[in-house]
Amino acid sequence: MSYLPGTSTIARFALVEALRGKLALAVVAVAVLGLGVALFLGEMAITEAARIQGTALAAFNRMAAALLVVSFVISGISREQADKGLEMLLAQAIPRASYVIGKLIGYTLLAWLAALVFCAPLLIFAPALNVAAWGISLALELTLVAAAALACSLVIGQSALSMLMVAAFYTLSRVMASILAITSSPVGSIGSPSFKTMGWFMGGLAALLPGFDRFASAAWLWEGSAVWSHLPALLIQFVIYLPLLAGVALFDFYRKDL
Amino acid sequence: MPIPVVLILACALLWQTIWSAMYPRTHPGAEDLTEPPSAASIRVSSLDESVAYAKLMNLTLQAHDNQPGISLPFRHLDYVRIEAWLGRILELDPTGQYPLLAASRLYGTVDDPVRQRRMLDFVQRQFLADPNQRWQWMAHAAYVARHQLRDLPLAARFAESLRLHATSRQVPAWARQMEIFLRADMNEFDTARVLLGALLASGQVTDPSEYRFLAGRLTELETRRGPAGK
Repeated sequence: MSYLPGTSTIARFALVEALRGKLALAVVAVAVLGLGVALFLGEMAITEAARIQGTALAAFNRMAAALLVVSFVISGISREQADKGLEMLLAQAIPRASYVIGKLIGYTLLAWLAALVFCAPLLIFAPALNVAAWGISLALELTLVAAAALACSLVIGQSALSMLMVAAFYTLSRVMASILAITSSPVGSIGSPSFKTMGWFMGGLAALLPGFDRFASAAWLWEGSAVWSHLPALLIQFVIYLPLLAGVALFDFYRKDL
Repeated sequence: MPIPVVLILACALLWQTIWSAMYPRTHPGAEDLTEPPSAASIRVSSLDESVAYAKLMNLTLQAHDNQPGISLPFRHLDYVRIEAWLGRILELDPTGQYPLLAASRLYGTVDDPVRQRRMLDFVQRQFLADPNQRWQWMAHAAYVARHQLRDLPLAARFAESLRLHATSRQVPAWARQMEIFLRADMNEFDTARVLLGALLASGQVTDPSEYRFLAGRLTELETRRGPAGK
Protein backbone atom coordinates (compact mmCIF):
# COMPACT_ATOMS: atom_id res chain seq x y z
CA MET A 1 0.00 0.00 0.00
CA SER A 2 2.98 2.33 -0.49
CA TYR A 3 1.15 4.14 -3.29
CA LEU A 4 -1.95 4.65 -1.15
CA PRO A 5 -0.86 5.52 2.38
CA GLY A 6 -3.40 5.01 5.12
CA THR A 7 -5.39 2.40 3.21
CA SER A 8 -4.69 -0.45 5.59
CA THR A 9 -5.51 1.70 8.63
CA ILE A 10 -8.84 2.77 7.16
CA ALA A 11 -9.61 -0.86 6.26
CA ARG A 12 -8.76 -2.03 9.75
CA PHE A 13 -10.94 0.60 11.36
CA ALA A 14 -13.87 -0.23 9.09
CA LEU A 15 -13.65 -3.85 10.18
CA VAL A 16 -13.09 -3.04 13.85
CA GLU A 17 -16.10 -0.71 13.80
CA ALA A 18 -18.24 -3.56 12.54
CA LEU A 19 -16.95 -6.11 15.01
CA ARG A 20 -17.17 -3.82 18.02
CA GLY A 21 -20.54 -2.43 17.05
CA LYS A 22 -23.82 -4.21 16.89
CA LEU A 23 -23.30 -5.72 13.44
CA ALA A 24 -21.46 -8.80 14.68
CA LEU A 25 -24.21 -9.39 17.21
CA ALA A 26 -26.91 -8.86 14.57
CA VAL A 27 -25.24 -11.31 12.15
CA VAL A 28 -25.05 -14.02 14.80
CA ALA A 29 -28.61 -13.34 16.01
CA VAL A 30 -30.06 -13.50 12.50
CA ALA A 31 -28.09 -16.67 11.72
CA VAL A 32 -29.46 -18.30 14.88
CA LEU A 33 -32.96 -17.11 14.05
CA GLY A 34 -32.69 -18.60 10.55
CA LEU A 35 -31.48 -21.89 11.98
CA GLY A 36 -34.42 -21.94 14.38
CA VAL A 37 -36.89 -21.36 11.57
CA ALA A 38 -35.21 -24.10 9.50
CA LEU A 39 -35.44 -26.58 12.37
CA PHE A 40 -39.09 -25.68 12.80
CA LEU A 41 -39.71 -26.31 9.08
CA GLY A 42 -38.05 -29.71 9.45
CA GLU A 43 -40.60 -30.65 12.09
CA MET A 44 -43.40 -29.97 9.63
CA ALA A 45 -41.88 -31.79 6.64
CA ILE A 46 -43.10 -35.29 5.91
CA THR A 47 -40.13 -36.13 3.68
CA GLU A 48 -36.90 -34.51 2.41
CA ALA A 49 -36.67 -32.63 5.68
CA ALA A 50 -32.95 -31.84 5.32
CA ARG A 51 -33.46 -30.51 1.80
CA ILE A 52 -36.35 -28.33 2.84
CA GLN A 53 -34.43 -27.00 5.82
CA GLY A 54 -31.20 -26.42 3.89
CA THR A 55 -32.89 -24.76 0.93
CA ALA A 56 -35.03 -22.47 3.06
CA LEU A 57 -32.11 -21.55 5.28
CA ALA A 58 -29.80 -20.82 2.34
CA ALA A 59 -32.37 -18.54 0.71
CA PHE A 60 -33.06 -16.79 4.02
CA ASN A 61 -29.38 -16.38 4.92
CA ARG A 62 -28.50 -14.98 1.51
CA MET A 63 -31.13 -12.26 1.73
CA ALA A 64 -30.47 -11.52 5.40
CA ALA A 65 -26.71 -11.28 4.86
CA ALA A 66 -27.14 -8.83 1.99
CA LEU A 67 -29.52 -6.67 4.02
CA LEU A 68 -27.23 -6.58 7.06
CA VAL A 69 -24.11 -5.75 5.07
CA VAL A 70 -25.88 -3.02 3.10
CA SER A 71 -27.42 -1.43 6.17
CA PHE A 72 -24.10 -1.47 8.01
CA VAL A 73 -22.13 0.08 5.14
CA ILE A 74 -24.67 2.79 4.46
CA SER A 75 -25.20 3.70 8.11
CA GLY A 76 -21.44 3.75 8.71
CA ILE A 77 -20.68 6.09 5.82
CA SER A 78 -23.67 8.32 6.65
CA ARG A 79 -22.58 8.60 10.26
CA GLU A 80 -19.06 9.49 9.17
CA GLN A 81 -20.38 12.18 6.86
CA ALA A 82 -22.71 13.58 9.53
CA ASP A 83 -19.96 13.65 12.20
CA LYS A 84 -17.59 15.44 9.81
CA GLY A 85 -15.21 12.51 10.30
CA LEU A 86 -14.78 12.27 6.55
CA GLU A 87 -13.60 15.87 6.25
CA MET A 88 -11.21 15.34 9.14
CA LEU A 89 -9.79 12.26 7.48
CA LEU A 90 -9.37 13.98 4.13
CA ALA A 91 -7.58 16.85 5.85
CA GLN A 92 -4.75 14.38 6.53
CA ALA A 93 -2.04 13.83 3.95
CA ILE A 94 -3.71 10.82 2.35
CA PRO A 95 -5.17 10.61 -1.16
CA ARG A 96 -8.91 10.23 -1.57
CA ALA A 97 -8.36 6.86 -3.22
CA SER A 98 -6.94 5.58 0.07
CA TYR A 99 -10.24 6.28 1.77
CA VAL A 100 -12.33 4.49 -0.89
CA ILE A 101 -9.98 1.54 -1.33
CA GLY A 102 -9.46 1.24 2.44
CA LYS A 103 -13.18 1.19 3.11
CA LEU A 104 -13.65 -1.31 0.29
CA ILE A 105 -11.04 -3.66 1.75
CA GLY A 106 -12.56 -3.37 5.22
CA TYR A 107 -16.06 -4.06 3.96
CA THR A 108 -14.79 -6.95 1.83
CA LEU A 109 -13.36 -8.61 4.92
CA LEU A 110 -16.60 -7.92 6.73
CA ALA A 111 -18.59 -9.49 3.87
CA TRP A 112 -16.45 -12.60 3.97
CA LEU A 113 -16.85 -12.94 7.72
CA ALA A 114 -20.62 -12.58 7.36
CA ALA A 115 -20.59 -15.22 4.59
CA LEU A 116 -18.67 -17.54 6.90
CA VAL A 117 -21.15 -17.08 9.76
CA PHE A 118 -24.16 -17.58 7.49
CA CYS A 119 -22.59 -20.66 5.89
CA ALA A 120 -21.88 -22.51 9.11
CA PRO A 121 -25.46 -23.57 9.99
CA LEU A 122 -25.91 -25.03 6.50
CA LEU A 123 -23.35 -27.71 7.29
CA ILE A 124 -26.01 -29.39 9.45
CA PHE A 125 -28.16 -30.04 6.39
CA ALA A 126 -25.96 -30.19 3.27
CA PRO A 127 -22.61 -31.70 2.16
CA ALA A 128 -19.59 -29.61 3.19
CA LEU A 129 -18.21 -29.19 -0.34
CA ASN A 130 -21.49 -27.85 -1.62
CA VAL A 131 -21.77 -25.50 1.34
CA ALA A 132 -18.23 -24.32 0.65
CA ALA A 133 -19.00 -23.52 -2.99
CA TRP A 134 -22.21 -21.77 -1.96
CA GLY A 135 -20.31 -19.83 0.71
CA ILE A 136 -17.63 -18.64 -1.74
CA SER A 137 -20.35 -17.45 -4.07
CA LEU A 138 -22.13 -15.70 -1.18
CA ALA A 139 -18.87 -13.99 -0.16
CA LEU A 140 -18.39 -12.68 -3.71
CA GLU A 141 -21.99 -11.49 -3.87
CA LEU A 142 -21.80 -9.76 -0.48
CA THR A 143 -18.56 -8.05 -1.48
CA LEU A 144 -20.21 -6.63 -4.59
CA VAL A 145 -23.25 -5.60 -2.56
CA ALA A 146 -21.01 -3.86 0.00
CA ALA A 147 -19.15 -2.09 -2.81
CA ALA A 148 -22.47 -0.99 -4.32
CA ALA A 149 -23.59 0.32 -0.92
CA LEU A 150 -20.31 2.21 -0.50
CA ALA A 151 -20.58 3.75 -3.98
CA CYS A 152 -24.23 4.73 -3.44
CA SER A 153 -23.53 6.26 -0.02
CA LEU A 154 -20.67 8.34 -1.37
CA VAL A 155 -22.50 9.41 -4.52
CA ILE A 156 -25.97 10.06 -3.03
CA GLY A 157 -25.07 11.05 0.51
CA GLN A 158 -28.52 10.33 2.01
CA SER A 159 -28.91 7.05 3.84
CA ALA A 160 -32.60 6.40 3.01
CA LEU A 161 -32.14 7.09 -0.68
CA SER A 162 -28.92 5.09 -0.78
CA MET A 163 -30.69 2.14 0.84
CA LEU A 164 -33.46 2.36 -1.74
CA MET A 165 -30.98 2.49 -4.61
CA VAL A 166 -29.00 -0.50 -3.38
CA ALA A 167 -32.20 -2.47 -2.76
CA ALA A 168 -33.30 -1.75 -6.34
CA PHE A 169 -29.85 -2.66 -7.67
CA TYR A 170 -29.80 -5.94 -5.74
CA THR A 171 -33.37 -6.96 -6.54
CA LEU A 172 -33.05 -6.17 -10.24
CA SER A 173 -29.72 -7.98 -10.47
CA ARG A 174 -31.31 -11.09 -9.00
CA VAL A 175 -34.50 -11.13 -11.08
CA MET A 176 -33.21 -9.71 -14.36
CA ALA A 177 -33.06 -13.12 -16.10
CA SER A 178 -36.75 -13.71 -15.34
CA ILE A 179 -37.69 -10.22 -16.47
CA LEU A 180 -35.84 -10.72 -19.74
CA ALA A 181 -37.58 -14.09 -20.22
CA ILE A 182 -40.96 -12.42 -19.79
CA THR A 183 -40.14 -9.52 -22.11
CA SER A 184 -39.02 -11.96 -24.80
CA SER A 185 -42.38 -13.78 -24.77
CA PRO A 186 -43.91 -13.98 -28.25
CA VAL A 187 -47.50 -13.69 -27.05
CA GLY A 188 -48.93 -10.20 -27.03
CA SER A 189 -48.14 -7.07 -28.95
CA ILE A 190 -44.38 -7.50 -29.28
CA GLY A 191 -44.26 -5.10 -32.20
CA SER A 192 -45.63 -2.19 -30.21
CA PRO A 193 -43.25 0.71 -29.56
CA SER A 194 -43.71 0.49 -25.79
CA PHE A 195 -42.81 -3.21 -25.77
CA LYS A 196 -39.74 -2.61 -27.93
CA THR A 197 -38.62 0.36 -25.86
CA MET A 198 -39.04 -1.60 -22.64
CA GLY A 199 -37.17 -4.53 -24.17
CA TRP A 200 -34.23 -2.30 -25.13
CA PHE A 201 -34.25 -0.61 -21.76
CA MET A 202 -34.24 -3.92 -19.91
CA GLY A 203 -31.53 -5.30 -22.22
CA GLY A 204 -29.37 -2.26 -21.54
CA LEU A 205 -29.97 -2.47 -17.82
CA ALA A 206 -29.14 -6.20 -17.83
CA ALA A 207 -25.83 -5.45 -19.54
CA LEU A 208 -24.87 -3.03 -16.77
CA LEU A 209 -26.02 -5.07 -13.76
CA PRO A 210 -24.09 -8.01 -12.27
CA GLY A 211 -25.65 -11.43 -12.82
CA PHE A 212 -26.70 -12.13 -9.21
CA ASP A 213 -29.24 -14.62 -10.56
CA ARG A 214 -26.26 -16.96 -11.09
CA PHE A 215 -24.82 -16.46 -7.59
CA ALA A 216 -25.39 -18.61 -4.47
CA SER A 217 -28.49 -20.48 -5.53
CA ALA A 218 -29.95 -22.67 -2.77
CA ALA A 219 -30.26 -25.48 -5.32
CA TRP A 220 -26.45 -25.75 -5.41
CA LEU A 221 -26.49 -27.47 -2.01
CA TRP A 222 -27.80 -30.62 -3.65
CA GLU A 223 -25.93 -30.55 -6.97
CA GLY A 224 -22.97 -32.74 -5.95
CA SER A 225 -19.56 -31.89 -7.38
CA ALA A 226 -21.15 -30.09 -10.36
CA VAL A 227 -21.59 -27.09 -8.09
CA TRP A 228 -17.95 -26.04 -8.62
CA SER A 229 -18.55 -25.52 -12.33
CA HIS A 230 -20.55 -22.39 -11.49
CA LEU A 231 -17.69 -20.61 -9.77
CA PRO A 232 -15.32 -19.62 -12.64
CA ALA A 233 -17.97 -17.48 -14.33
CA LEU A 234 -18.84 -15.87 -11.01
CA LEU A 235 -15.19 -15.07 -10.35
CA ILE A 236 -14.90 -13.37 -13.74
CA GLN A 237 -18.04 -11.37 -13.03
CA PHE A 238 -16.64 -10.40 -9.64
CA VAL A 239 -13.27 -9.35 -11.05
CA ILE A 240 -15.00 -7.17 -13.64
CA TYR A 241 -17.67 -5.65 -11.44
CA LEU A 242 -15.72 -4.77 -8.30
CA PRO A 243 -13.43 -2.30 -10.15
CA LEU A 244 -16.52 -0.88 -11.85
CA LEU A 245 -18.17 -0.08 -8.51
CA ALA A 246 -14.89 1.16 -7.07
CA GLY A 247 -14.45 3.29 -10.18
CA VAL A 248 -17.89 4.86 -9.75
CA ALA A 249 -17.15 5.66 -6.10
CA LEU A 250 -13.69 7.06 -6.88
CA PHE A 251 -14.90 9.11 -9.85
CA ASP A 252 -17.60 10.80 -7.80
CA PHE A 253 -15.39 11.20 -4.75
CA TYR A 254 -12.69 13.01 -6.71
CA ARG A 255 -15.30 15.13 -8.47
CA LYS A 256 -16.82 16.38 -5.21
CA ASP A 257 -15.63 19.56 -3.58
CA LEU A 258 -15.08 18.43 0.00
CA MET B 1 -9.46 13.90 -11.48
CA PRO B 2 -6.62 11.32 -11.51
CA ILE B 3 -6.30 9.60 -14.88
CA PRO B 4 -6.07 6.07 -13.34
CA VAL B 5 -9.55 6.56 -11.80
CA VAL B 6 -11.05 7.47 -15.15
CA LEU B 7 -9.23 4.56 -16.79
CA ILE B 8 -10.45 2.07 -14.16
CA LEU B 9 -14.04 3.21 -14.56
CA ALA B 10 -13.94 3.20 -18.36
CA CYS B 11 -12.21 -0.19 -18.63
CA ALA B 12 -14.50 -1.83 -16.05
CA LEU B 13 -17.58 -0.48 -17.81
CA LEU B 14 -16.30 -1.76 -21.14
CA TRP B 15 -15.46 -5.20 -19.71
CA GLN B 16 -18.86 -5.47 -18.01
CA THR B 17 -20.63 -4.73 -21.30
CA ILE B 18 -18.47 -7.23 -23.19
CA TRP B 19 -18.98 -9.86 -20.46
CA SER B 20 -22.76 -9.38 -20.53
CA ALA B 21 -22.76 -9.83 -24.30
CA MET B 22 -20.52 -12.93 -24.11
CA TYR B 23 -22.40 -14.53 -21.24
CA PRO B 24 -26.07 -13.59 -21.68
CA ARG B 25 -28.58 -14.24 -18.92
CA THR B 26 -30.10 -17.35 -20.42
CA HIS B 27 -30.78 -20.76 -19.03
CA PRO B 28 -29.57 -23.41 -21.49
CA GLY B 29 -32.16 -26.02 -22.44
CA ALA B 30 -35.83 -26.25 -21.68
CA GLU B 31 -36.84 -25.92 -18.07
CA ASP B 32 -39.75 -27.93 -16.80
CA LEU B 33 -42.71 -26.04 -15.52
CA THR B 34 -42.79 -26.53 -11.78
CA GLU B 35 -45.89 -26.92 -9.65
CA PRO B 36 -47.41 -23.52 -8.86
CA PRO B 37 -46.79 -22.21 -5.36
CA SER B 38 -49.63 -22.69 -2.90
CA ALA B 39 -52.11 -19.86 -2.42
CA ALA B 40 -51.04 -19.47 1.20
CA SER B 41 -47.35 -19.13 0.38
CA ILE B 42 -48.16 -16.67 -2.38
CA ARG B 43 -50.16 -14.52 0.03
CA VAL B 44 -47.24 -14.46 2.44
CA SER B 45 -44.51 -13.86 -0.14
CA SER B 46 -46.51 -11.15 -1.91
CA LEU B 47 -47.32 -9.40 1.40
CA ASP B 48 -50.99 -10.11 0.71
CA GLU B 49 -50.86 -8.60 -2.78
CA SER B 50 -52.11 -11.84 -4.23
CA VAL B 51 -53.94 -10.26 -7.18
CA ALA B 52 -50.75 -8.51 -8.28
CA TYR B 53 -48.86 -11.77 -7.86
CA ALA B 54 -51.50 -13.58 -9.92
CA LYS B 55 -51.00 -11.09 -12.76
CA LEU B 56 -47.27 -11.79 -12.70
CA MET B 57 -47.98 -15.52 -12.68
CA ASN B 58 -49.93 -15.06 -15.91
CA LEU B 59 -46.87 -13.58 -17.57
CA THR B 60 -44.53 -16.17 -16.08
CA LEU B 61 -46.65 -19.03 -17.35
CA GLN B 62 -47.06 -17.40 -20.73
CA ALA B 63 -43.30 -16.92 -21.02
CA HIS B 64 -42.62 -20.57 -20.17
CA ASP B 65 -43.23 -21.89 -23.68
CA ASN B 66 -40.76 -19.39 -25.09
CA GLN B 67 -37.69 -19.78 -22.97
CA PRO B 68 -34.56 -17.94 -24.03
CA GLY B 69 -33.12 -19.57 -27.12
CA ILE B 70 -35.93 -22.09 -27.61
CA SER B 71 -39.60 -22.05 -28.40
CA LEU B 72 -41.54 -25.04 -27.14
CA PRO B 73 -44.55 -26.30 -29.11
CA PHE B 74 -47.69 -26.49 -26.96
CA ARG B 75 -47.81 -30.26 -27.36
CA HIS B 76 -44.50 -30.55 -25.48
CA LEU B 77 -45.83 -28.69 -22.47
CA ASP B 78 -47.07 -30.41 -19.33
CA TYR B 79 -50.79 -29.63 -19.47
CA VAL B 80 -51.45 -31.00 -15.99
CA ARG B 81 -49.16 -28.33 -14.57
CA ILE B 82 -50.46 -25.66 -16.90
CA GLU B 83 -53.95 -26.41 -15.63
CA ALA B 84 -52.69 -26.23 -12.04
CA TRP B 85 -51.13 -22.82 -12.73
CA LEU B 86 -54.24 -21.49 -14.42
CA GLY B 87 -56.39 -22.76 -11.55
CA ARG B 88 -54.11 -21.15 -8.97
CA ILE B 89 -54.16 -17.83 -10.81
CA LEU B 90 -57.97 -17.85 -10.87
CA GLU B 91 -58.05 -18.79 -7.21
CA LEU B 92 -55.96 -15.72 -6.38
CA ASP B 93 -57.68 -13.40 -8.83
CA PRO B 94 -61.22 -14.68 -9.47
CA THR B 95 -62.23 -11.67 -11.55
CA GLY B 96 -59.31 -12.07 -13.94
CA GLN B 97 -60.17 -13.30 -17.41
CA TYR B 98 -56.59 -13.94 -18.50
CA PRO B 99 -56.32 -17.62 -17.42
CA LEU B 100 -59.56 -18.50 -19.19
CA LEU B 101 -58.46 -16.75 -22.34
CA ALA B 102 -55.14 -18.59 -22.16
CA ALA B 103 -56.91 -21.93 -21.60
CA SER B 104 -59.45 -21.55 -24.40
CA ARG B 105 -57.63 -19.53 -27.02
CA LEU B 106 -53.95 -20.27 -26.37
CA TYR B 107 -53.38 -23.69 -24.84
CA GLY B 108 -56.72 -24.92 -26.19
CA THR B 109 -55.47 -24.54 -29.77
CA VAL B 110 -52.94 -27.35 -29.36
CA ASP B 111 -52.99 -30.03 -32.03
CA ASP B 112 -53.67 -32.82 -29.56
CA PRO B 113 -57.27 -33.79 -28.69
CA VAL B 114 -56.38 -35.06 -25.21
CA ARG B 115 -54.72 -31.80 -24.21
CA GLN B 116 -57.42 -29.80 -25.94
CA ARG B 117 -60.15 -31.60 -24.00
CA ARG B 118 -58.29 -31.04 -20.75
CA MET B 119 -58.31 -27.30 -21.39
CA LEU B 120 -61.99 -27.33 -22.38
CA ASP B 121 -62.91 -29.25 -19.23
CA PHE B 122 -60.95 -26.72 -17.22
CA VAL B 123 -62.87 -23.88 -18.85
CA GLN B 124 -66.17 -25.57 -18.10
CA ARG B 125 -65.32 -26.13 -14.44
CA GLN B 126 -64.22 -22.55 -13.99
CA PHE B 127 -67.26 -21.29 -15.92
CA LEU B 128 -69.54 -22.98 -13.41
CA ALA B 129 -67.85 -21.06 -10.59
CA ASP B 130 -68.94 -17.70 -12.06
CA PRO B 131 -71.13 -18.28 -15.15
CA ASN B 132 -72.23 -14.72 -15.77
CA GLN B 133 -68.70 -13.34 -15.85
CA ARG B 134 -67.09 -16.23 -17.71
CA TRP B 135 -69.75 -17.15 -20.29
CA GLN B 136 -67.69 -16.03 -23.29
CA TRP B 137 -65.03 -18.65 -22.62
CA MET B 138 -67.67 -21.35 -22.36
CA ALA B 139 -69.09 -20.20 -25.69
CA HIS B 140 -65.64 -20.42 -27.23
CA ALA B 141 -65.18 -23.88 -25.73
CA ALA B 142 -68.42 -24.97 -27.43
CA TYR B 143 -67.08 -23.58 -30.72
CA VAL B 144 -63.78 -25.46 -30.31
CA ALA B 145 -65.62 -28.68 -29.46
CA ARG B 146 -67.89 -28.28 -32.48
CA HIS B 147 -65.43 -27.17 -35.16
CA GLN B 148 -62.00 -28.36 -34.04
CA LEU B 149 -62.70 -31.51 -32.05
CA ARG B 150 -65.83 -32.24 -34.13
CA ASP B 151 -67.42 -33.56 -30.96
CA LEU B 152 -71.05 -32.45 -31.25
CA PRO B 153 -72.25 -34.02 -27.97
CA LEU B 154 -69.49 -32.23 -26.07
CA ALA B 155 -70.29 -28.94 -27.80
CA ALA B 156 -74.00 -29.43 -26.97
CA ARG B 157 -73.13 -30.17 -23.34
CA PHE B 158 -71.15 -26.93 -23.13
CA ALA B 159 -73.94 -24.99 -24.82
CA GLU B 160 -76.48 -26.54 -22.43
CA SER B 161 -74.34 -25.44 -19.55
CA LEU B 162 -74.35 -21.93 -20.97
CA ARG B 163 -78.14 -21.91 -21.31
CA LEU B 164 -78.71 -23.22 -17.79
CA HIS B 165 -76.17 -21.18 -15.86
CA ALA B 166 -75.45 -17.94 -17.73
CA THR B 167 -78.70 -16.26 -16.82
CA SER B 168 -77.63 -12.63 -16.50
CA ARG B 169 -79.13 -10.09 -18.91
CA GLN B 170 -75.55 -9.18 -19.84
CA VAL B 171 -75.18 -12.54 -21.56
CA PRO B 172 -76.21 -12.13 -25.21
CA ALA B 173 -79.07 -14.18 -26.59
CA TRP B 174 -76.93 -15.96 -29.18
CA ALA B 175 -74.94 -17.60 -26.41
CA ARG B 176 -78.05 -19.03 -24.77
CA GLN B 177 -79.45 -20.10 -28.16
CA MET B 178 -76.33 -21.94 -29.21
CA GLU B 179 -77.58 -25.25 -27.88
CA ILE B 180 -80.64 -25.18 -30.10
CA PHE B 181 -78.60 -25.10 -33.29
CA LEU B 182 -76.17 -27.69 -32.04
CA ARG B 183 -79.05 -30.05 -31.18
CA ALA B 184 -80.43 -29.48 -34.65
CA ASP B 185 -77.02 -30.31 -36.14
CA MET B 186 -77.10 -33.53 -34.14
CA ASN B 187 -80.49 -34.33 -35.64
CA GLU B 188 -82.05 -34.00 -32.18
CA PHE B 189 -84.91 -32.07 -33.69
CA ASP B 190 -87.33 -32.73 -30.83
CA THR B 191 -84.94 -31.31 -28.24
CA ALA B 192 -84.09 -28.35 -30.45
CA ARG B 193 -87.76 -27.68 -31.14
CA VAL B 194 -88.71 -27.80 -27.46
CA LEU B 195 -85.83 -25.52 -26.48
CA LEU B 196 -86.62 -23.03 -29.20
CA GLY B 197 -90.33 -23.07 -28.45
CA ALA B 198 -89.61 -22.50 -24.76
CA LEU B 199 -87.27 -19.65 -25.58
CA LEU B 200 -89.85 -17.91 -27.76
CA ALA B 201 -92.56 -18.45 -25.16
CA SER B 202 -90.44 -17.11 -22.34
CA GLY B 203 -90.48 -13.58 -23.71
CA GLN B 204 -86.71 -13.27 -23.48
CA VAL B 205 -86.47 -12.54 -27.21
CA THR B 206 -87.60 -8.93 -27.55
CA ASP B 207 -86.06 -7.94 -30.87
CA PRO B 208 -88.67 -8.42 -33.63
CA SER B 209 -86.13 -9.44 -36.27
CA GLU B 210 -84.57 -11.98 -33.97
CA TYR B 211 -88.02 -13.29 -33.03
CA ARG B 212 -88.94 -13.71 -36.72
CA PHE B 213 -85.67 -15.50 -37.45
CA LEU B 214 -86.09 -17.91 -34.56
CA ALA B 215 -89.74 -18.53 -35.35
CA GLY B 216 -88.67 -19.38 -38.90
CA ARG B 217 -86.14 -21.84 -37.51
CA LEU B 218 -88.86 -23.38 -35.33
CA THR B 219 -91.08 -23.88 -38.37
CA GLU B 220 -88.16 -25.44 -40.21
CA LEU B 221 -87.58 -27.84 -37.30
CA GLU B 222 -91.25 -28.74 -37.24
CA THR B 223 -91.03 -29.55 -40.95
CA ARG B 224 -87.89 -31.63 -40.55
CA ARG B 225 -89.42 -33.49 -37.63
CA GLY B 226 -92.19 -34.71 -39.91
CA PRO B 227 -95.49 -36.22 -38.90
CA ALA B 228 -93.95 -39.21 -37.07
CA GLY B 229 -91.31 -37.27 -35.26
CA LYS B 230 -87.71 -38.20 -35.02
